Amino acid sequence: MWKTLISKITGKQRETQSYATFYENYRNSYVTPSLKTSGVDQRFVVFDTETSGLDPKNAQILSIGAVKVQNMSFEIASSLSIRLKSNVIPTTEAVSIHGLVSSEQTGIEMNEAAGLFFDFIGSGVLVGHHVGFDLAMLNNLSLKHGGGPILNMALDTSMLARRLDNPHDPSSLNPKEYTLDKLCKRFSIIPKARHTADGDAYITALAFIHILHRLQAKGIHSLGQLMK
Amino acid sequence: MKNEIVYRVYDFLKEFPPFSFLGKDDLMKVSSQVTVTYLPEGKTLFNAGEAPQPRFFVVNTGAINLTDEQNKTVDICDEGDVFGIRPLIAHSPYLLSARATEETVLYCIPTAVFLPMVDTQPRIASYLATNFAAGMANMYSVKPDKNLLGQGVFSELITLDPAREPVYCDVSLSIQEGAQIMAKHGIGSLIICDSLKRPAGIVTDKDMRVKVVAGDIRKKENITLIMSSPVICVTPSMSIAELQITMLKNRISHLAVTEDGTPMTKLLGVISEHDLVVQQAENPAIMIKQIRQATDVKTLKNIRNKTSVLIGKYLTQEVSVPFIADIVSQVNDEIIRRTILLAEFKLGKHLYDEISYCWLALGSEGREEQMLLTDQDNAIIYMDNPSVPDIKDRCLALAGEVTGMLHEIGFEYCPADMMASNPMWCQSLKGWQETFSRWIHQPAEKEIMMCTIFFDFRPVYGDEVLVKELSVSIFENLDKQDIFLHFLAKNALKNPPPLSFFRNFIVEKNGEHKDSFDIKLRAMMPLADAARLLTLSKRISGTTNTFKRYQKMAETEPQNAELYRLAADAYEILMRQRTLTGLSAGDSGRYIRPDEMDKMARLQLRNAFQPIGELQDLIKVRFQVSSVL
Repeated sequence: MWKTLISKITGKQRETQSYATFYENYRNSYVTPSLKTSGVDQRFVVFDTETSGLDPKNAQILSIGAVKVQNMSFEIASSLSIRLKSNVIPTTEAVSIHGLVSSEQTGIEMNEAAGLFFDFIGSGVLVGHHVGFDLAMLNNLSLKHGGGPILNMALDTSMLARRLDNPHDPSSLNPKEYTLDKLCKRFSIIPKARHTADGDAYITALAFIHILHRLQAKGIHSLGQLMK
Repeated sequence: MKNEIVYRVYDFLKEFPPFSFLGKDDLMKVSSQVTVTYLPEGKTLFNAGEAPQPRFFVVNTGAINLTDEQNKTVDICDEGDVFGIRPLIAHSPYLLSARATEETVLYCIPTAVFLPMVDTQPRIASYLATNFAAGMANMYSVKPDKNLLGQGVFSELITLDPAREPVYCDVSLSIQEGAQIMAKHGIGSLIICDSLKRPAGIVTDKDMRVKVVAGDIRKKENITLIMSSPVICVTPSMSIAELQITMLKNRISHLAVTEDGTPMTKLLGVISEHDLVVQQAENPAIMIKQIRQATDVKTLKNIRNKTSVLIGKYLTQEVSVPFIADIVSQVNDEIIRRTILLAEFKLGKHLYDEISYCWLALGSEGREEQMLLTDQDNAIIYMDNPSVPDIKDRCLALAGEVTGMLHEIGFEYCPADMMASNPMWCQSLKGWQETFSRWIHQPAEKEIMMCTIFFDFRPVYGDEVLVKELSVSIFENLDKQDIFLHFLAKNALKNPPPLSFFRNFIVEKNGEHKDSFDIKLRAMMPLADAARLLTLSKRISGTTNTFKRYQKMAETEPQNAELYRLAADAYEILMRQRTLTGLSAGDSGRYIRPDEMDKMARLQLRNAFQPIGELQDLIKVRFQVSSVL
């Protein structure tokens, strides 16, 4: 009673209000990785979401795929692949990209998906292609189901790839030249079965490892340097 | 829940042996346990002599160089190749070192999930054995020797040469006498048999060195003092794969063959690891591997010559002709692909990386029916590219190089110049679409002739999408121009079958081939033409092979299935006869001499003519050409 009163007065509601268990567990065990860790030793979580649209405000997550990358490797057995229950009919723009799916009744509930995802990522550094969009989608999912924002550091493969070509001003390069397809071609990654989220997580992981190696050759070794 | 990421691995692995032999559930199980790992160029994965990791490897992208202890390259593994599995079965250290020669992505597969499948799936064991043999053949640098155990490899079973009496030593003899036997026969190990000729033990060079020369056993002593027993025995009917796996598992290089596969029955023979390697050196799978690693025309020529030997062997063993033709066309395709790659490198690989083109095989090669070395028939189709104005010149330069190399290998230049090096046969997709459209809409005799060659096109190298698009537009043209099939039908009826063998057998009346019978023109072409016409009229695409065309027709028209089956059989008999003739005459086998054939072969041939007449009757009615003739 006092607690709620104080929190109302101080406006620090978030600090004291209890989150859903999945987020509590995640937040309590989260450890910020040291920026000195090398890119080889660091544990990364490369992930991708498939959504019903391209606007994070309205779109819903249809599926999530993720793999844990460490030592320039990842295990298929410890990958995450979930399909969410949704009633949303995807917008035409998303259909034209993903070529999917009207509505998915067979998937798991949203809150369960949020739990699985947060449990999976732990303290790993998140990696995605245009990761900002996926982060926004997952933050929304978390908030909607009693969780809080994602605390993990995040890297964008599109930006990292551009850093390869222009270390000083990567944003000046046209992102359209750095699509996942183009990266696959550049690194000779076999780009089959793209555009389900899981397939994208798999090739994003491969692209990321290829980029990581090349960045090392340019003297970018530590997590701190990668995050710059 | 279904994990989609597993499918990424599954979709890749299922294309490659030995994974292609696994059922879906098994392969999914394997795929789900894969670790995907990245090796930068120059990185060493393992060194010779190291204890094996509990996993083996498949190259996803990139290339791994396997070298022996002298740092000599033994094998190069690229996309889909498996390596590092031998030590796991043999429980021995790595024999070779593995290093990435370029940036490489590997799939690492835990042996524990895979090994149980080796025991239950004979095809996997067989594949692995072949794979090991490839490596060993390189290490021993053996040359194929037909006399040893000589039997076709695809039949897989080893048969002991009954004339080859096994060398053995009686238990009553001394070490010295045993050593003399080994020296006399030049062998490195000796089976010791009891008085009933049952294997009691085995003595190797090493036993002699360690136990006698360097040890304290005297050479006058009984040989059984230094033998190892029991001897690992096998039955006479085990496949090469099984033998190889048995040797690996027991870490031995000799197996005793006995009547029932135990030491309790009589010794029939001895099989050494070397025997297996020699036998497999003529394996088409290994030839294909050698082709992929060839760096000059001479090597390719040698391999192609070996193929001819193999064909002859298969034919005498009555292996089915479609099967032989399939193998030959795989070998030929691989030679062509390798030749193109070598030519690309010679002219500048980058020039060809940036364009989209496809190399087409035409005619008999396109139909996958080329058994002996015959003329080249090929073409190039490329995609116009505004940023590469000299694309046609690039393709022509490549074609000039490739056709020249193929000529050196033994595929002679096409006398009619139907080759990709001819600017008329090196066209853009649009150009080819127009050409076919012209042939179809204004069919004169020459155009029809072209069509019979060009309708049998098949992509061998490059961008197959171009070929698919061309096929689509050809079918569209056929839909608009039904009369074309009528012309094609007329052409298919040009050569009526010989009526009977003994009376109206049509032999060439004059010239070089006087008194011989043109088996290609009079018997094979009518069958191939009929198959092409019938499948085109049913709009069946994607197959050019005459056997397969008749098979498809039998499925499409069950009421005529019997006739189509007979036609396919006839084609097989004719192809066999032509190939045998060619092998003995050292030519294409086109002209056979009836007076030199034995009665059986003549009867077979006569029966083969039967369905030609019936097919031609069917075509006359169906395409209404009876009046024309």
